[in-house]
Amino acid sequence: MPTPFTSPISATELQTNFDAHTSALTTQATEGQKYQQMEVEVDFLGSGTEIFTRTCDFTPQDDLELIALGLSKEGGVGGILISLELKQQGDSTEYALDKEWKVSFTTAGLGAEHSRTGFIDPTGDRLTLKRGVTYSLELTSDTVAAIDRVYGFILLKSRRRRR
Amino acid sequence: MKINIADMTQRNIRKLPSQEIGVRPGFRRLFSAGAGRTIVSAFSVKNIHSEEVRHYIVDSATDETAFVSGSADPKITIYDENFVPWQVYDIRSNKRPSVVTHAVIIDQIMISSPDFDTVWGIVGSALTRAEKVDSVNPATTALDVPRGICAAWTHRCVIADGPNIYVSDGVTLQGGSPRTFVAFNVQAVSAGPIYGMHVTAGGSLVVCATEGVFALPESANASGQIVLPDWQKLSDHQTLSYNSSAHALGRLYGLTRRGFALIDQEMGTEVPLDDPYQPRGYGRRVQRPDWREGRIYPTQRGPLCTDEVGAFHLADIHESQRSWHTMTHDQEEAKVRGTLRQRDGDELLVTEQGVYRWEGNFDGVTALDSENADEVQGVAAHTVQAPPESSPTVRYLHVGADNTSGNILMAHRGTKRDAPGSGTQRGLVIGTSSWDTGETYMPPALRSLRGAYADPTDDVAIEVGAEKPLTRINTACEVQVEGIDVQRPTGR
Repeated sequence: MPTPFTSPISATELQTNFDAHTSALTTQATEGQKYQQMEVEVDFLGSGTEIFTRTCDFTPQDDLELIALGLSKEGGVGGILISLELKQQGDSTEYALDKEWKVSFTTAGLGAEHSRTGFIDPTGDRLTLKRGVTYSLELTSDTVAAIDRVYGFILLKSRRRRR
Repeated sequence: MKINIADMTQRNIRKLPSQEIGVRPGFRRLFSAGAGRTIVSAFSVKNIHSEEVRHYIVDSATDETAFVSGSADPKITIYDENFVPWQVYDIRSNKRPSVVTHAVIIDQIMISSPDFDTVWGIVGSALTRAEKVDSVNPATTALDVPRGICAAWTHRCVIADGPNIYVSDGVTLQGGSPRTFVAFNVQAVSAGPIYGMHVTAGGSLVVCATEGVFALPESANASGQIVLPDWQKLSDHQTLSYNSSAHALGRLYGLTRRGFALIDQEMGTEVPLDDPYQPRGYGRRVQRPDWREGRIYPTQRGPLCTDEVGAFHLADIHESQRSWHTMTHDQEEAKVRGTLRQRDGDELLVTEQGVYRWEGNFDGVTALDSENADEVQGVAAHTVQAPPESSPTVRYLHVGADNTSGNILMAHRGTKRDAPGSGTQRGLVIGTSSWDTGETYMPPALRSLRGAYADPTDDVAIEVGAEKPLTRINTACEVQVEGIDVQRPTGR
């Protein structure tokens, strides 16, 4: 990067300096946006297995924006309602804004199926998971049935902190 | 006679960091209201965890006739630091909010107005309608969250609805929510309708009402869930409308008939806002029959008064300087509706039409280029005391400034004699200057101009100043008059 103390400095060089500076800021801003993923999974359920619930608790160490909830399944039969829900652990719901954050679908039959819901539309529901608050990711079904695999994930993003 | 510009009524003038008088910095527009939208209110909140700042901007439909069909369509939009929208919250009201207040209680935010249901959210997260939350004290019953104006006080949210004060449960490590309001904490202050609510430097909750200004000391909070009604009257100042009181730099200011005054004590000094009674060559004279119909907002420099006059008045308390300010942006009327704050503390000015950073050497519609066609004119006006028996003839005005382009401004009784400034640029010029030990650079020097008149008058009224933001103006200007005219002046 040319320095302003070279002699003489031209308007072009000054603009180059400015562009380099803004470019560095943009790069740092992008680097500061880190995506994270949490997963919860159920494998190889026999037909005699009870209705399943699998929970994964986690406590963010930084504020994290909720980007999407996703759910997929392999094998099994049709007519099973499977859900993935994000909850605040404990009795309180204020850090989940007292709302339900959920993705679900009813299986159609054998084979891979999936569904996901994004939460990045400014006019829709949005949520930031707060640092130090414990949340649960809960994967459930409503029917006793054999199923090869059910997989749920949550995609999160930390906001940029560098300048 | 020599006249000190610092003692004159000022417009678009600010003290430079070097304590000299100069033309105000430029307004650079960072954000524009959406098409057909008018900004109603705005504020910024910093996230205590990530240090990120979020800007909350409340706007509604500009078209007044749309209100008839119930589509004022007010919305609260949360923007990130680059004004990228993060959440648009539909207020679901058919009225343009007359006032919008907010309270931040640790990491929870309450946004309230008499014109829509109170909104609650988490700082850094989203907003939603505030629903009542049961109290952690099972012996008390939660009321519905009231409407009104709000303030954050001792980790509680306080909402004033008409003459009543609703104080929420405190937010503590043991629990408690700013959405929990119980009947024991509803207080009637006997002050009439409340139009302003603030927390002062000593931690007192202060309400501005039609019957005076009343304070509740911070110690009233110390008895547990229930707040003691220990109200004390501070002054008899009558507050008659929303947005007519503001807490700035530790003191409370309120609009009065003639201007604004300190209202946290009796007999507070009143600052008149009207311009002197004289014909103006540069912009209209600012005058209102009653300033209580205007608005006053707190800023980092002091109270800011604004109205429908198309200008705003900023009193810089630290610099002991005050000035009216106008904007050169097309269709912009400088109706201020609040301020925003950036992460590094810089304050942004919000008008009905946009958000502006207040720095740099030109007014523009973007941060770095697009200079406006109209020049920023820093002008000081004054009616000079002249002995009535003399009927002097004004002959010359001498004014100095350091601008290398743009005019030096001078006028007597509205007759202008401005001319291009003749300052010499001695600083660095991009593309021309060499950084060399043999070169000497120094700040631009003041250069004076003289304007000639032959105005016999009993009423000497001058305007002096310069164009271009950050131009330094000579604090002293000279008015030369000649002796008694053989005839009394007729026209002037």
